Amino acid sequence: MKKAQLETMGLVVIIVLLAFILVFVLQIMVKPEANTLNSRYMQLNADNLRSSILKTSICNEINLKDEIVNCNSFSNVQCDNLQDCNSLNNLIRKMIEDSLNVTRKYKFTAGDILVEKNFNLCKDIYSSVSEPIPYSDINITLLIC
Amino acid sequence: MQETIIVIFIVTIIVGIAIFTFYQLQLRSIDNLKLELEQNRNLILLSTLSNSVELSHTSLGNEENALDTIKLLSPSLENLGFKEITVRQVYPSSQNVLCTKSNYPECNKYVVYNKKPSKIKNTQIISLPISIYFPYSNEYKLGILEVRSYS
Repeated sequence: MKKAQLETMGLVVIIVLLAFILVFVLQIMVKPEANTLNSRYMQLNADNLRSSILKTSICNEINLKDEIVNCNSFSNVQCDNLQDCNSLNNLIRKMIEDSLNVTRKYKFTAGDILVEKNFNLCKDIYSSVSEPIPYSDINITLLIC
Repeated sequence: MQETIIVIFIVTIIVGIAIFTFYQLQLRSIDNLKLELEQNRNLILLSTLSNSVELSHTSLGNEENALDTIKLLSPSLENLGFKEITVRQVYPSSQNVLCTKSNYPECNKYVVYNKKPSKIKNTQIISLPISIYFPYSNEYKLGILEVRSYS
């Protein structure tokens, strides 16, 4: 083999090695975002939990949303199984903690009502779509992380 | 000549190791992709089940974004693969009993779909809070929709 041919061979080998290195580097660099699925799941949890707990019946024909309006407008509750607005807060807390499997950090706001747990430790926050109550300035949101 | 042979031999070994490593990485990447695809499918299933005709509660043609417990008693879900789909009532809390037509509504768990493989290697579990509707008392209660996917 002539010297020129040997050098060409060496060049080809170097190019092949560089190509392999490039493929490895590209594979590591072009990794899809792993958190997309998780963020969609968290978002879905926040949205579903907000709409589900608001719809939940507390007593005859009265749901949680009605009692939130009562507490914000009249500082009182209608259902006999709740003593006052404080017990409504406890009920909301129980509902959230019993049904939220993905996290233990949350913040629920509905006008004057605020129920939260470990929310100051949150980094990535997922907010549910807020639900405004008609003819009032109450906006119901649930934040989880 | 001898040196050339040694260089070619070493380079061949290096290229062989690189190909093997690349193949292993590709295999792992395909496994991850498979897992992600399965998780994606489960998430889509979980988010669409509450509005499916087979399970959802509708009032005057409007979807109420809740599961109808009467429909949960005799579900008609098919061809969802190796999965177990359950709905569990969490508020108000009730006795931990599987729901049938004979004990309804004094129960708290509905098995909507259940198909297990003969040998289970892996199980993925995802769940979502959901509203469940009781037509006889016209009440909405809080539940958890859970999908267990087997492979």
